[in-house]
Amino acid sequence: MFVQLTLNADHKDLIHDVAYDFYGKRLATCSSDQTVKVWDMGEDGQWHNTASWKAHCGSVWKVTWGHPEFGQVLATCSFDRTAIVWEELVTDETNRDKSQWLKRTTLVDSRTSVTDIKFAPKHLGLQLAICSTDGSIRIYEAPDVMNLSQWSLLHEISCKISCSCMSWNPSRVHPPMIAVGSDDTTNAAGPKVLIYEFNENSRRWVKSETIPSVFDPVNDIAFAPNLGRSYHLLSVATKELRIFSIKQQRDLNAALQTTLPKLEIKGVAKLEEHSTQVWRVCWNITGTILASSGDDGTVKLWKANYRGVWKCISTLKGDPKLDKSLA
Amino acid sequence: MGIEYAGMDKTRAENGVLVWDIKRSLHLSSDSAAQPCRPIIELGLSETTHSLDWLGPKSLICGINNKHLKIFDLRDDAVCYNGIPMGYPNRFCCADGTKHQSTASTKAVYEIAVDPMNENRWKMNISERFLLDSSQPQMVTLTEAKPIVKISWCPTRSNLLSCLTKDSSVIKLYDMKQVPTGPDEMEPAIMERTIEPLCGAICSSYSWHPTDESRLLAVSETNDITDYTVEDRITLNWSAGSHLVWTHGKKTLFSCSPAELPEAEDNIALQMHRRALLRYGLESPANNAKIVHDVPELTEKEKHPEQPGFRGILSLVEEGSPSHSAVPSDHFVVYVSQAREQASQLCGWGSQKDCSTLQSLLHRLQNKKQYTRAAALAVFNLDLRKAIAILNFGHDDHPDSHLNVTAMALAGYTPDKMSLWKEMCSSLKSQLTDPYIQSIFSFLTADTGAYDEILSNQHICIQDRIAFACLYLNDQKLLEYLRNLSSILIGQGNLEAILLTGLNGDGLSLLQQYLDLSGDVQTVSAVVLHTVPACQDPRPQAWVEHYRQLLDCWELWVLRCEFDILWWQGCPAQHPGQQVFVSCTFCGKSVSHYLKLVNPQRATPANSLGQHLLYQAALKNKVSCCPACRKPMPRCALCLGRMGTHSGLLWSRGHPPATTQTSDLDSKLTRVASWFTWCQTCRHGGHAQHLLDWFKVHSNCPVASCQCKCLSLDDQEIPSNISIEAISVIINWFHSRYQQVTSK
Repeated sequence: MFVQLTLNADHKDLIHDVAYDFYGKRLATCSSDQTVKVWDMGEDGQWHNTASWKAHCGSVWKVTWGHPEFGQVLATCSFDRTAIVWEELVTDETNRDKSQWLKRTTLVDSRTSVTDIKFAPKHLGLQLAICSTDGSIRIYEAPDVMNLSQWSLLHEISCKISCSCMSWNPSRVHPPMIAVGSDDTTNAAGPKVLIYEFNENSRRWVKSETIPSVFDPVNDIAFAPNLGRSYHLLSVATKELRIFSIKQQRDLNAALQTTLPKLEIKGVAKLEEHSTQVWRVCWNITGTILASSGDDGTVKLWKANYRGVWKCISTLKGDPKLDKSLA
Repeated sequence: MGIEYAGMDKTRAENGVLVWDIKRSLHLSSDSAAQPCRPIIELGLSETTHSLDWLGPKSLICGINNKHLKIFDLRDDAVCYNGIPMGYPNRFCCADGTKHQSTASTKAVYEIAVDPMNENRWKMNISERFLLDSSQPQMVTLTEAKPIVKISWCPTRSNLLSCLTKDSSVIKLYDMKQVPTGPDEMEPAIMERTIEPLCGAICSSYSWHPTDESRLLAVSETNDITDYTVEDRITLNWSAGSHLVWTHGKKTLFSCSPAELPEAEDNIALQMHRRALLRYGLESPANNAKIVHDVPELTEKEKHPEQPGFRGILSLVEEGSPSHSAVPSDHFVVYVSQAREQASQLCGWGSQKDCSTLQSLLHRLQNKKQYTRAAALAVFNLDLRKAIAILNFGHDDHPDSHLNVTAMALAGYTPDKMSLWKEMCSSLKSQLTDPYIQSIFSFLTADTGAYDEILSNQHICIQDRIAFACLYLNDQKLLEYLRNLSSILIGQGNLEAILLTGLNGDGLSLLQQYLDLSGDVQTVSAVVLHTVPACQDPRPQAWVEHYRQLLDCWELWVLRCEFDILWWQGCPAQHPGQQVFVSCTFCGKSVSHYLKLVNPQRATPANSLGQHLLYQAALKNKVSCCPACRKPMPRCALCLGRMGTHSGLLWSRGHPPATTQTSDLDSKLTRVASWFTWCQTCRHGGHAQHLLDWFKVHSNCPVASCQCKCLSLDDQEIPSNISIEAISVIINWFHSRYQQVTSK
């Protein structure tokens, strides 16, 4: 296992999130040092730091890119109870190695730390969902995509449980769906992954399912890119790595019903090879390979074989240089 | 500093805290070894010191007498503070060793740790066991179940407090976050984590490495020392191009290119990307097959797209009329019907009446060196002589394959049921390794109608098996076999089953299953594209939508365009209408729309030559004013000529003669180079080619007084992989499509 690129991010504190943009040509990192950095792939194949700024007055938990159709947009959320939408200021072509990011709006509705922030899939327009430790999911929309400074609060969903992470279902053939994970430790028997769906008829978000059998605090959660599959894959990082398939039961009368079709949730895999807490999960673009990181300091890649059995196909050391020196 | 301290138990009239200067002591001891080192400062007379730590370069904090925290400032002749002075620029934590807390002064005196990170702008007291001193603001209490052995701040990470309790194998790490938000003070958030440096053994103490990030030494009760590094929580992300990036600590990002990922060959995302670059799905079926030689199924299915309605063999057979049996040779019962005939054609065997298809298939197989398969097919079609010839030929080609031995054995065939030949072949055929040779002998030795051995052999091509079944199974058995086979194959997502299912409901389920298992949205999109793009089922629409999104992610816009073109070609009914119009700045009417309506009868010239001339005339007769209000068109900012378009003129004229359409596709329409284009912000513009040339060297608007940075507003520089030629090919294509649609 050789690493192609090592990048000195030079944050002053732990990096909490790293995000590629839609094309994989830009990177954003955020850290406990309250800053956000943006990196651009240069023509020399190296990442260049093109912007770095103090974004919040608390640890920045998550950073996420908007769809490029809406411009170069970043959203961050922080321990300081806010979420901020940033837009890159178009500057002189000659000075492209330093770009400037403007704060377009600050979303201050949360009373507690905002733990996750995600843009909705593009077909829903410019929507942004945040979840916070007070147990709320808030969904904002910029009605005018040309004006990023105006966001209206569309929905506020109360989960009644401290939220740690969330994920939009990226599929466009199904009604909007959000999965939320909780790191709540007070109720050991309560479910920790909730699934909300948007009901077109009542125009409200309703809780459609809770995932049974996940009772440990959830660190991260991610829907796989759907790619036209007949089911959705949801990975959950908790004490171990869990993968669920969610299938919408095909109901021909669905249009007539006021309730959404029931979801059929199946546990696909329970992977314990990290043997410690699993911290982050991420799907590749086709939803065929899952990458996870654990407290054991490794990154593991998982793939299903033709019979649907998930296996670890590779283990990468968190610091590959150490690995080499040992070998 | 070279200054060392020691805390002592109280003895009468002695000091509890002694401070030495090591440097001086060393100096002294080298001078005269006999002279004992004396502490430079002695503090805390008659007091018991439980714990102490440096608090800044020149002050000490001590837990004293079970109840006090004292700070000694060494600069100022050991001034002692009882309690902590407000605004002291450090934070520290202390541990309470007792189980119960007395109400009066702090008992948290047994362990003290001062946060070494000077960047902290606020102070905080954390005492173990969740001891809080109400007189101190911003004090946080954490309660442990067991007495604390050691607490300390991580020297390389701010806000990270570690804590070890008695008889425990785990060290707890508390990551403390706090935001100074003025009067609206927040509870500090504490993220808790546990580590087990000794893999379960009880840890008696530990120590952080002063400079290496997150590294510590832990010692067990049995005095084993372990060097342990606390792994930081890693965050990671995938890019559209399958690059994986992950973090390590606070400084480093690692990224890994797709080629270096394990099982890169098996990675469908990479495969699809590579194939997309090779124009997979956009070419004719034969070329597609070349691109995906490793997905043989596709060739099979795309061979037959001309079949009416893409019906599968299964439905053909189900609906076909009952077959009658014919006995071409004395031994084998062959069934014939129209449906079977069609099925056999679909499988490539050709019809029974016409051997030429089969002959050419055999020839192709020989060319591909699949001698045994060719021989088996010949035998199944009851042409033993041909089979023997093929095997002999194969032997000549590969002398060590011993195909001639097989040929010899085959030549001894006798239909006699009781013959020695049959007996020997039946018993020996199980030792044969080649599935086709095996099937030859099982066919020749089998009782009539008992061909399960061949039909269930998974090593034999599915189309061969189906064609075989269509020849030799009676109606009932055939239907049963086909249904069974198709449900198995659909379950496996085996694309070869497309032969059976066709591309109606079952076929889509099959494609869906294949997609579910493989994630290969590209292949299913290509299938849909080349066969049933107008299909109303939501599933194919979703697949294609996702594939187009993938192409977008990969920035393969030209390919995406070509894909869309092919797609709309397949379903003209859903052809997107014109989306961009050029309107006159004065009257607001669409320029091209008007032109389309001009004098339609002129558009039907008597002969092709006439049209050609007319077309030439149209080229010269550029529209330089608005056809509606006769106001002039704007000028190009660069050449200052009037802009004009005549693309609309041509659209109105129906088909140009075939010669011009094929030979001179480019010139029959306005060249893209002379199209209108303008900046969406400053509204200045001109001919496309002029502007492209201008922006190659400039970034500002070409209009003299305009400071608009048109090019950079368009986000990126002109992508190098899109040439104006490529764009014009696409646009021309759209135009020709448009003509066809309008002329219908």
